Amino acid sequence: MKNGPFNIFDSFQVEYNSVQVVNATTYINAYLNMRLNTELSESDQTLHGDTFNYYKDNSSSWIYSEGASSSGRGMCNNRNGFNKVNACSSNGDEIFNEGMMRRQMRIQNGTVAKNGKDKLYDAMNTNPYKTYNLDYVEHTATYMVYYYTILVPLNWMPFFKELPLIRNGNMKLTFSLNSNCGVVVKKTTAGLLDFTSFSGSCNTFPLMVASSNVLIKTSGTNTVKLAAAADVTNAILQTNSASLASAGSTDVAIGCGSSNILITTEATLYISYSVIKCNSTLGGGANTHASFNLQTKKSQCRILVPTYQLTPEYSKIYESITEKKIPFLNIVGGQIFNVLPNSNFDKVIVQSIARAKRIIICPFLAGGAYGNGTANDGSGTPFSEFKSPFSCAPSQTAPVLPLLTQMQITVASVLPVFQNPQNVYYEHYLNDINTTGLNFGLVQGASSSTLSMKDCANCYGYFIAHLDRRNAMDDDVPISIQITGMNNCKKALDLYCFIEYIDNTFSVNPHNGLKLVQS
Amino acid sequence: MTDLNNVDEFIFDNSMSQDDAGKNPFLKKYMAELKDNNSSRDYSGNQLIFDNSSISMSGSYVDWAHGVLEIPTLCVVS
Repeated sequence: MKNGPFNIFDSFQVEYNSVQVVNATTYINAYLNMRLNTELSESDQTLHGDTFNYYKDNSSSWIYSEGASSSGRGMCNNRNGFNKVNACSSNGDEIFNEGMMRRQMRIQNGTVAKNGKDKLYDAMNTNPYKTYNLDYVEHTATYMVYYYTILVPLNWMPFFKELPLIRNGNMKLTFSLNSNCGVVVKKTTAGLLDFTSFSGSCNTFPLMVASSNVLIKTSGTNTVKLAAAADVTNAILQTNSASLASAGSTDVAIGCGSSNILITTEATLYISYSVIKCNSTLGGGANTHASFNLQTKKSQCRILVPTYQLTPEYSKIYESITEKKIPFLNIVGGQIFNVLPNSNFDKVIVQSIARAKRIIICPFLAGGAYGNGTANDGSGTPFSEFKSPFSCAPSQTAPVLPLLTQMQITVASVLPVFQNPQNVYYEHYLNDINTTGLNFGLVQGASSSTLSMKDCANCYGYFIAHLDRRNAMDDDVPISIQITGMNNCKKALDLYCFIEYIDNTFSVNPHNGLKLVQS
Repeated sequence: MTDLNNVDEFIFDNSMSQDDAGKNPFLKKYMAELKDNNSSRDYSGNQLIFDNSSISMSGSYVDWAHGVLEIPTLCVVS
């Protein structure tokens, strides 16, 4: 999976008592991922990461390849093991993505006996991991199936976070999903990876395919053995010796540890992804490798929510509050697609909005002729990063923040946010990115956010500008918001913009659930 | 905000906040399960809809902020 629980969403909306309070904003996963990346502390990641599948991807372990490579095509941050541990290697100290590796390592293998677990799980097909759909992979002769349950804490999302205890309120929640899709990944005779087609109508492909360029083990023993450069390919933290190839082969191992799959000849890999049930019509069109029609033991999606009965004493206190005004952070989005290399961009993101708080711009390599990798095998144009199985996007951005120059945000058509157009780098990091998360990075020992300047210069290149420095009397004045700048990257970019604003129109009686009309 | 460098102030504030110790505002807590509206297992429309009418009428206070959404998924590689 790409990092975090949010890549399953493209948008969500909330209706309260049949009135829409949160509008659907597409590509909301890019925004929600930004919130996690800038607000979670390392302790949060330790405590919640295993539960909600958040393991911060390394930022400078990325590579870029115009054509097929051992990591894939275009933007790749999918190397999950050591090649040559050398501080002088091309990527300095980060030569693999530990976050992705940790997401892979949580997968339980139910087919191969592992550490005696099979002695407890009497019959593998009824083991608890499969029953509860928990990070479980099952091998058959013709396919592997991963059972995985996405858990999304609602307080990591806007609106829900601010809701108090409410009785009798009617809500309708609608989520648009990035599922029911697939990609075809091809392995060439030289052991290189490429992707050839994408199916499905979703905006993000939520899964990743690991690089093949890391060699840890080359024989049937468990000793670590690094290969010569010419031998690059092969097993990634491989433990199942039966499926290992000899040193120097061009076999490609997809995955890590017990979750790996080994392609032993030039081959095509169909990857299909869906909710609850999955069949062979997904995955780049009709799957010619295998016929399957699978479903989880769980039949529906659900929300688990705590409910409480108050003691009479506290009930009396709480019922004295007959109206709770709930200002919450709402989001409106806009995109600038296909900003060509060395080109300027200039767009009004929103025409009229009040109480704007921040604008966040997330850059990604575009699809299309000047985008993420050259056209592959004449079979079409490259995928955008969102749909690439080799990129972490949109859990990470493209590493292009220093290449965005002359950046300016203009509000109400005439008022620039920055005194001078920004060439984004050190000053921007100090002013706008370092000040995210708990205590805004200003209190030693009690801050969240783990984004360093190195992260921002690489794959966490969020451009963030504060819009709330204004007189209080101007808070409710609707303004337009326009962004201008220049793309100095050699590749075309898609810019996904999100504007946070305080929505103060929501007010309820928490005891009977009635939404109250604002005067 | 308490100055974390001032240990005396921290200790004093802690002492002042003990007045209500031992009181619990709740009689009962339970986790309600809200299933989505799709009972046919068909998510090919890429949409997930929840209507909370079943738990909103329970008479209990609902703590939406600490709910968790659960989406079982499958990935098949062949």
